[in-house]
Amino acid sequence: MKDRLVTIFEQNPHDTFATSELVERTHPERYQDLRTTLNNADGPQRRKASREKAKLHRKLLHHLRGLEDQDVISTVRRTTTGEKVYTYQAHDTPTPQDHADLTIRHDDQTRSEAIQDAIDKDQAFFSHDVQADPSVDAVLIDAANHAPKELHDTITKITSVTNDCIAITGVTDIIETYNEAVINDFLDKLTAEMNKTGCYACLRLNFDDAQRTKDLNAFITAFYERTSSNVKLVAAAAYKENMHETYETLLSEAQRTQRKAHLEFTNVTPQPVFVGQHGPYTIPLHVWERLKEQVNASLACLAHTTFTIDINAYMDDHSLTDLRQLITDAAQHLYVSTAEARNDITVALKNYFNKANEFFIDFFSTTQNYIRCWNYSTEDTSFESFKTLIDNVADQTETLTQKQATIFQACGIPLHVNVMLAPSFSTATPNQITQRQYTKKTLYNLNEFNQDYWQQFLDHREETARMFDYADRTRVFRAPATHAASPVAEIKHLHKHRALPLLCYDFQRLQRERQLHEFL
Amino acid sequence: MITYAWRNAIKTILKDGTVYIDGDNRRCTEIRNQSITIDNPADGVDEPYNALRDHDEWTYPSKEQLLNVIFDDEHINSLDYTYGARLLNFDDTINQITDYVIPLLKDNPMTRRAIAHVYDPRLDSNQRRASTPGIIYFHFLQRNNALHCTAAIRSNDVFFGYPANIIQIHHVHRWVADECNLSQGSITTVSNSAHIFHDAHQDIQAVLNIPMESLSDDHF
Repeated sequence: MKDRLVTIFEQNPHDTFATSELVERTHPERYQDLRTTLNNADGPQRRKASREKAKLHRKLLHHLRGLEDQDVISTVRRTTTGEKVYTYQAHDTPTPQDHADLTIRHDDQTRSEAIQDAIDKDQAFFSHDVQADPSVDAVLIDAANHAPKELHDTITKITSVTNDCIAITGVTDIIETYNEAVINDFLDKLTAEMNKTGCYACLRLNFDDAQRTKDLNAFITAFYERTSSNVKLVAAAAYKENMHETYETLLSEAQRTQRKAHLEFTNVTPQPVFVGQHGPYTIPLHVWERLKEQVNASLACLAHTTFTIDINAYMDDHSLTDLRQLITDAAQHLYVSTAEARNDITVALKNYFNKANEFFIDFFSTTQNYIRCWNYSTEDTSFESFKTLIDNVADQTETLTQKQATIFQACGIPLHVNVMLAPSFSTATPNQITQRQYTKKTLYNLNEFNQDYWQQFLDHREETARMFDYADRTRVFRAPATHAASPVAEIKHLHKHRALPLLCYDFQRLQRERQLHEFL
Repeated sequence: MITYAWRNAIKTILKDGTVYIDGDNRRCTEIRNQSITIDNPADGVDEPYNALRDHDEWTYPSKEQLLNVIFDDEHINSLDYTYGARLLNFDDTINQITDYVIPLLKDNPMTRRAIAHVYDPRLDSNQRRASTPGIIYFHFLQRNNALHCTAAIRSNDVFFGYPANIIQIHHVHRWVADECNLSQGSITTVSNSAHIFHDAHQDIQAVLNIPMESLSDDHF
């Protein structure tokens, strides 16, 4: 591909080419097909074509960036839609840089030895290569600023640059503004979109904001009837007795459909916690407070990229000191590599959203990069040392990112790149990552919370939530209950006695235990 | 020469500055309106930069990044501002250097009006804005067949910022001097708040070997 691009520029040394012109020249037939579809088709076909076109753009941008780095071509300007326009470098147009008389060296964005070694041994992996793929892991959309149709359009556009999770707040506003048919249509379209793209959508339903319980109950029922498992619902509330019926609806619907009920306790975390494939996502409290005030906050990048470490595999042949070094190296790498990739993402976004520059500055102001831990045991004795390590490394990471921000800001490069530590989900792990080591147990009734197993389990989960700054989820496998009142009583108990930010009641029965019961 | 100026500026701040806690709750030592004049900027302009770049404890921006943000006239959407977009494409209407400063200096060599602004009050005079430019303006003055440049810096982290700032100012200065067929004269920076963060003390010791005993909290 690079050679084809060079040939185009060499044959037209005095011409300029926008990215889409280069896509057309390098993929003439495919581009023509896509254009025909985009001009004539509606609905899913059109969206599919739009995404494919974006994919071609992304692939080409990777090669164009390489040619720019080698000084074969240079960017001369951007089009009104934000596309870069390139020209061949061979001719003698003087630029300010000519006066600089410099040996320009590129920033070292290669991975440290520790990172590369862990990747080579399948002990760690990045969610995507930010240099080659201008996309992000998770975005946040405030539904309160959109009508359902507009919201769906925004989701359709943003999925083309999102790998993992579309987090949606303000759902209560939609429920209380629009009728059942409109809401059902939105849920159907959202489900279809997520099934097609493989992304998760995570709707945050704030019970505290709700004015009409009846609407909430109807929505919850519709949600479990109409959506598939990659559309999640997080019920956010500080438990109140007058919401008992709504909790019953939520838990009985989850049980009926053998799905999960996610409950976010707002008394523990005022900031939201979302569920993606890679793991839980959250926003530091001070950023959440600022985001609520922000004018352009209807769309924001929640997470750019993720580095996941399989702790169990890594600790087989490394020490805790090595792990500390790996996490610090990863934080440094994420800072530098994601900083430069942001501009390419905004170019891709500009193809979809005709917004002012301020919008894109705000878009990244909430962004975190995640270092996630997979298979860290919460049951064996090493948990204490792991906890100490994470506490220590979290402080170190914060100091490092603050120092980097100070340096870049002082140099006239005002970047805000944050790195957060969090657990990983098995849905994020490719096949080569080790199988889950910790054991799961099913809960049958409230009294079991007095058993040693559950006491220790919940103690550890509280510790884990605190050390990961509440980017954590506690999953409880719940056996089928004859009436939802029992699980509701358990939720009430956990709310009262435990500081858990996000609780997941999972009514999918555990395979291992089902076999045991069947045998008995 | 520049390393000498940089080192002395830091020592002066640490010795004579006032300690305070800033809006981000960081402890700093500050001197107001610190002025540094470099008579021959080409002499060792990269030395402070190289000193910071050679350390593994942090990533210092590459020279390409430093010059891109001052010579690239495009708005970089993921940054709050860039010097280049402000200098060379202010409000998408004027290249302050090629459309104004250079022609002015050519037409009226003794002018005192050759100024290029970075600060844009319409955007920056906003309390909610996360960050605003450190360098506020560049002023060029031709005297005795040499072009002198003064840069006003609102807020200057002298340890981590000055090495980058002096490279950026130097290259803009030399570009204008070349275009006007003048030799490059002195660079003066006037830093309204020239400060050192206390959390950088160990780094200063590591890079410049300035003993921190010279700093006391008596001023606080």
